[in-house]
Amino acid sequence: MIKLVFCDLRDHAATWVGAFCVAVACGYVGGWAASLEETAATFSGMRYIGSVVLAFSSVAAVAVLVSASNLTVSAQRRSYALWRLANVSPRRVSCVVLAQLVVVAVLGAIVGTLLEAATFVPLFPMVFGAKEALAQATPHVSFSMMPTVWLAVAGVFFCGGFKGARSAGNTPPLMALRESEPKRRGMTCLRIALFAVLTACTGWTVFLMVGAAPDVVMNWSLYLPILAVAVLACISPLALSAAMDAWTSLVPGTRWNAWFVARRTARYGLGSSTSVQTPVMVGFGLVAGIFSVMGVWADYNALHGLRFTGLDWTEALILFGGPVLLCAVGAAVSVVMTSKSRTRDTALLIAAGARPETLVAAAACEALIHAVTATLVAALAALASNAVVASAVGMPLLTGLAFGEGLLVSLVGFVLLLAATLIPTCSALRREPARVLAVGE
Amino acid sequence: MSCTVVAREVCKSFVIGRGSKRRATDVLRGVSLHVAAGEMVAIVGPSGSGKSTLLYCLSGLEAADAGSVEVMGRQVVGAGRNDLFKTRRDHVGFIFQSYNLIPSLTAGENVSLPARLAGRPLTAAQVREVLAGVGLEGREKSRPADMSGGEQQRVAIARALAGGADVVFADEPTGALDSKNGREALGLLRGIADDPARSVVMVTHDLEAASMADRILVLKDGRVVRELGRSNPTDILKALEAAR
Repeated sequence: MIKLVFCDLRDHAATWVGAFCVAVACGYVGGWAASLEETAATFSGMRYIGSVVLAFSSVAAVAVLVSASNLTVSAQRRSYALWRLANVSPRRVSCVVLAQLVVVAVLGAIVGTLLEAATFVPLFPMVFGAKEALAQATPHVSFSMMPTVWLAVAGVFFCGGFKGARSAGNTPPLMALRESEPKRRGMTCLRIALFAVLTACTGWTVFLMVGAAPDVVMNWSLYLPILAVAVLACISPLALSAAMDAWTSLVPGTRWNAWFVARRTARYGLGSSTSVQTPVMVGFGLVAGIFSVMGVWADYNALHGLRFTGLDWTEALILFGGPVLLCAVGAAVSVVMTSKSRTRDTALLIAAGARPETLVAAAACEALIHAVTATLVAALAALASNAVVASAVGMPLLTGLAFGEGLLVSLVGFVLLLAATLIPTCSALRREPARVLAVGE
Repeated sequence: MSCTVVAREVCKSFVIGRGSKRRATDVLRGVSLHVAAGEMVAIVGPSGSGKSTLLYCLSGLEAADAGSVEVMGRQVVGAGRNDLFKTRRDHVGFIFQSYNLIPSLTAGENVSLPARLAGRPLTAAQVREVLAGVGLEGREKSRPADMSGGEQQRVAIARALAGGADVVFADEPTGALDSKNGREALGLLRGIADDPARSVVMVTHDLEAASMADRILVLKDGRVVRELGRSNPTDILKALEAAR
């Protein structure tokens, strides 16, 4: 079994490199959180900063890790089906898949934490130098916490890929070979349970805020966008597909072939689409949500003649550095993961008489569909957080709503997704369709 | 008698191997043929004789290195990307052994896709009619993954028909089908060729399938070595064995 785990990882390194990169990013952010805690042990002014980094990054980390593990397992379906045909038992296939996820997660997390160990001390003054109260702190890298980070990353990868691993073992091999994409996967039991827990937590937070003193509301308000995004991430297979179906149907596909092809492709590969859209959704939701909450406080303080400085560079980096890095890596990983199937789809459409320009436009439309869908769903989280905080302090519901910074994150996500769809399409257009469509290729 | 496809001295080679072991292999060595409207031509030959490559070169899916191929009077060899696209869109239908339906589209959408791409979208009633013509009434909404191999191949044939193709190229159309479904698919192809304005060019290993063609070309080592008129499977087998 060990041989199977490592030989397959070596042979399909191009597929696994995406998951590895996500694990590196998670290890890096986790390492920063650990080292900030270590530094806080000798400099009390830094207390809680590591926890804040961890709290704000954990939603993005879980969403991106789960997406990456699902995409990887999905991309490896054919390979697993071939194992089954070679009489490897379903249970063993599942075990090998989980072992592969853990190996890649641990290796990635180790590289991430080592990278963090090398960069934490030189980068520390750049992050905290501008803040007078923290400039005196001496950075300490936390080596003792590194194994915890590795285990945490591996644990999330394991849980995120568990369903996919079981399905890899249980799907009849011929079905896996015949269908290029796994069947639509709706809400799993784990997602439903997480959704219930997080909804309860969000409800409890709202309960604590409504009618409380402004300082209590302020303490809780920054956690609300995180919880709202986490709730949405749990139901992303439902929320994203419903939003995608709804808004894309407003553009008539009968008039524009590129839109018709893009919409069908995005809707068909729902598993991949959800994985691709989730990082952008989390990125926009966190940034727009937190800036909107800050907007409420700015308006509230202005109304009461109080001084409010908003977020400075250091605070913005502490709050958003981790999530934005993770979401950017997550979106970029989709470049590698989703490019494989495009070669064949492009050849099929060319053989059916599609113009190359139509296919390029369809690829761009698909990226747009993903980015807009993610933004629309995440906007709900930002709106909800904004409305709750505003009403808790007696301000108009949509006061201080700030989507600008979030849209910047969505724009970056769109550019990455555009690369994810355009590069493989253009490269597929250069290949002879006959070679791609020939039997056995 | 008008010709839908005219090929003269078509050559194609592939480079195989890497580094110092890299060498060119001639797959087609000056193939000439013509296909008349209303004719069904079968191309047979041993594995590796260049049958599929010839079919791809004739249809413009693969660029020939030399020679000339005209499909409905339009030159395919050396044609620009847009000209090739127009020729394929307006005149060519393709049927593959592995069906090659687009998995994200329903059967109805697969059937109507070439017409839609050509700017002549079909109505729902037309799609239903074409699918009914291949025995798939009421299956417009089915996805390829939910259909059997025979059904998928019938959708592929319906797609070629609905696109209004003048020439249908079929690469081992019965290769993945059982004998009953294979016979049905061949019946549909024969029906296309019976239309005096259309023709079918089919590559096959199946002697029964080849025996349904009006003409049979035997290919060996990239050359047409024998041409038969309508023949029974025994005669085709003899011709093939003589070619080996």
